Amino acid sequence: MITRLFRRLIWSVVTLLGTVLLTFFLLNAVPGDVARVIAGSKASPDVIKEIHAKYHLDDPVWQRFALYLNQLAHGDLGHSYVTDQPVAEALLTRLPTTIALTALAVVMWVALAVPLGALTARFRDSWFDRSTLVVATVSLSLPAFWLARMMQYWFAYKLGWFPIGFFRSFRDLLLPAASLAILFVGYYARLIHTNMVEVLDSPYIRAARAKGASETRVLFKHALRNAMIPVITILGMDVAGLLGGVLFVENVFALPGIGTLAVQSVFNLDPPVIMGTVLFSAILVVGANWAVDLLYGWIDPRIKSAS
Amino acid sequence: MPLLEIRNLQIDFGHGLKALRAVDGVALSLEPGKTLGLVGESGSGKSVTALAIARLLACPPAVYAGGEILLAGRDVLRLRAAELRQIRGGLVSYVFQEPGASLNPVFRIGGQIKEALQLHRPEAATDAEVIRLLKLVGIPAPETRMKSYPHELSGGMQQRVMIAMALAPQPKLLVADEPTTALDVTIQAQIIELLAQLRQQLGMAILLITHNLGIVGDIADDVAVMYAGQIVEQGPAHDLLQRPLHPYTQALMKSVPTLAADAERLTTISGQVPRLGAFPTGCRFHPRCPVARPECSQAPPPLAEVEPRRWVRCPYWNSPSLKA
Amino acid sequence: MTMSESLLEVKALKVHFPVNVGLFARPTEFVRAVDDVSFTIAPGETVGLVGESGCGKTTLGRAVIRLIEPTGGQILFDGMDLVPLKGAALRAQRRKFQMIFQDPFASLNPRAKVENIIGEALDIHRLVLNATARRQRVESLLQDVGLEAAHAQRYPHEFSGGQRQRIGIARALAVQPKLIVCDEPVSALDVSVQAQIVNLLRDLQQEHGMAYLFVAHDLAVVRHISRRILVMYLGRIVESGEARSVCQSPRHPYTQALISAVPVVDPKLKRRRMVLAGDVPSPIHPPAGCPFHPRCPVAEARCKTEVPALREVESGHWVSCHLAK
Ligand SMILES: Nc1ncnc2c1ncn2[C@@H]1O[C@H](COP(=O)(O)OP(=O)(O)OP(=O)(O)O)[C@@H](O)[C@H]1O
Ligand code: SF4
Ligand code: SF4
Ligand SMILES: [Mg+2]
Repeated sequence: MITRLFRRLIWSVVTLLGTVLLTFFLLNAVPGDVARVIAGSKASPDVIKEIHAKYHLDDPVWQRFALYLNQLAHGDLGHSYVTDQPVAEALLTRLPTTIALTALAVVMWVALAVPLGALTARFRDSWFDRSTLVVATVSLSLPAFWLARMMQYWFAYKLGWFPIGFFRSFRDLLLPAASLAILFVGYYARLIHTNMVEVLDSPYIRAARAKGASETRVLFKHALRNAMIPVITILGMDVAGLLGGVLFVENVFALPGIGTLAVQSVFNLDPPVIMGTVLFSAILVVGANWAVDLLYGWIDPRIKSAS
Repeated sequence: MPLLEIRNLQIDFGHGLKALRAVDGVALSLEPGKTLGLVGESGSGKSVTALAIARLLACPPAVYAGGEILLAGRDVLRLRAAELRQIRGGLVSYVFQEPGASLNPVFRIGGQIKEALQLHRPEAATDAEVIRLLKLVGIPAPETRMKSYPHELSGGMQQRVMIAMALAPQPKLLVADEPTTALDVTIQAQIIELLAQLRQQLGMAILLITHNLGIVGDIADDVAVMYAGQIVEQGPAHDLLQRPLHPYTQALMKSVPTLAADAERLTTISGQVPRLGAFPTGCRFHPRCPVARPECSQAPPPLAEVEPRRWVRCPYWNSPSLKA
Repeated sequence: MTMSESLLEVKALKVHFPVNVGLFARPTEFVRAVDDVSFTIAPGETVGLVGESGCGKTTLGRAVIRLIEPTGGQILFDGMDLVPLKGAALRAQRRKFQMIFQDPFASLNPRAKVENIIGEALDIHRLVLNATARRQRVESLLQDVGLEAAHAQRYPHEFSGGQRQRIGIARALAVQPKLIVCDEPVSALDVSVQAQIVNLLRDLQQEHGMAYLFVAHDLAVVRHISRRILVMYLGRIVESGEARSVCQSPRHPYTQALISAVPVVDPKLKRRRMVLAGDVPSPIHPPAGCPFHPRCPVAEARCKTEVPALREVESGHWVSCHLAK
């Protein structure tokens, strides 16, 4: 167990460092003078020179990388070249929105997919199972941006149930989160369905019925936890990969989250902010992996004693 | 009144024209506290019969096509879902072939036993009772063992846990479907000994299903031999095992390996068990029967009481060639 | 027995598996799955290996044909030591020994036709020149094991357990090995099918002359096929000898318990059972002294401290028990 945690820790550090390294050098390879971005195209050569000196733009790339790492090690993510706001502050003010949006979306899709998957497995081949399958397949093929736009059009603009843009309260997150969740519900319902069908055929389910357990108990106590074991890994990967979708939805609904920040920073060619958002998503991936590991150990006791 | 009485049970897999009859007219009866051994090769319908007793077969594909299963006088096939749940575990408990797969891998064994108590004897759903049960089935250090997960136990220990779980609600009938087949011979002997001892101690009836005639001899009062969905011979264990009357029982017996000094080549039954839906006409055993006659492929023989308490499904049981 | 007489000669074979492997640290504990085991198999002979699950039977069977890396000892096959062999040199020897597995369901590729399951070994060792020869060879192998030529075109799931085991046997036979390790080949089968497979193995041996190392937990099954029997407990051989002698006059209390556990059909022959208490102890921390002492019904004080040596109590009959005479 200890060794496994240790390995995982090393792996996490390597992932984070690798991401930082790769992004840094990729950004460096982008053509164009950052100083021009900062000072504007009409700035005088003196100003440009000054900026070069201030941001060490003329130093060799590895030296600047070392500088950046040193900065990171001191918990400093740098300042935006455009607004001069500390990157950490920019991230932190936007973090709650993104976290809330992500969490809400995950909760929504899991809360819907679990009963759907379980019940369709229990009533296999019924009309309920078949129609769920159709809906799931359709939802799988919806493009994310189209869905977000359509939901915004119908529920916010036409029906007026939700604000069209701008983030004021938790309620405003429901629509964006739902448009993310819908993309996953169908897929997860099928995934849980497939695992559930297999689990329901296993001898311990027959043994549970032979004990006199009710169908509800058999389904949700005995079968569900076993059926969720393989789902957890995929869930971890999807949550980590969700940032792409979040980025989109935040921009469509004009939510002040990390996604909008990321898009802005790329448009502005603002390296410290780009680095910050990339670092954030790398942390998210690593964090999701840790969460999966912990969840796994809890849901499947066989994991702990193995290794 | 017998505890269990199965009358003319018919079980199909599939409906209508595609229906295949897996159990065909099985009749069994078991008195309280007695042990009945149900023996036969793989696919003969033993498990299907056993699962039917608590209506545990998945329907579909299974269809209860006819007959009655009277458990303490009530027909299980006519019970409502809630009544059925009371019977399952409460009146009849099961122990299955693969103990490892029959315990839920994600719950501690103590919890799984306690669940059986909660369902049928809620007043006794305590750690103390779980410990008592684990002790009863011979699990050392039950206080710590109850916190184990199934995968942390050996096959023999897992089967003991299954037995403890089955005994928890104090059932009148224990159905043990090949409880030792997946275990080592030494552990097999332990488990059979345990069952025999528990039967005495608790006075419950046991339906023991096995493909090995050597195992029933140790514990059964009566034996029923199944072939291709039917009972072909039935009688008191002691008598039947010493003097099998049906050619199939005789052949099955000879195929059990022994340690005798002259143990050389084993006697086998030629061919294989017929597949469901491909049962031969007439006597279903005739293609493999060493003493079959031309008539055997014509009319299906009835199960007849040829001597007191000895039932045989072969009209030629008394012919000289069979006594050799 | 001189060396030229034995096909296989195993000397002081050890297989230790590390447990609790640290990231950098050296392994701290070992499972002594096979500990100092020696035996021989003559050409065309069957040696039975019995013991409870977890005693190291399977590991020994696999190590002998180098499917598992031995930790120490020698495996002389036709006089050549297999232990130091690697890569191509080892592969060249592979066709001389084959294995049949316990689980006929798991050991056959479900997506391969029987023809290819059996034919694969022929291809690997280049034993057939063309497709026609391959087909003919596969068909004749199927007939050898009591199946039909037409079965070549089917998939494993279309067969019963006994038939699948026959396919496994045909696959092993394909390369005309000199030794087949049969790892619990009948444990998953009904008694009636067990008998068919055991007889088939005997017939094939008579016809083709290969030797078997026949692994099982049921002494009665082993009795019907083996000339000699090895009884294994916690990674060591505790008794060995002629099958008849081991079964009729077992000297080790463990063998006696194994024998009394064999189910007997005839109620007249019912003996008093000697039921062993408990499971096989953990091979990581085997009991001190005689490893069998915690379960032994006749253990004495010295059994807890002194390890009994394997002694020849009668010509060809070896026992490791202080009390054996
Ligand atoms: N769910 C099912 N669908 C279709 N056929 C089935 C099903 N379950 C069992 N059968 C068939 O019913 C017949 C009897 O099966 P059963 O499991 O009762 O045999 P058994 O005597 O218990 O054999 P074994 O020794 O292998 O356990 C077999 O031919 C089997 O293939
Ligand atoms: S009826 Fe005929 S085929 Fe059937 S068991 Fe009797 S002798 Fe054999
Ligand atoms: S040495 Fe002692 S403990 Fe070991 S088998 Fe002999 S009597 Fe039993
Ligand atoms: Mg069965």
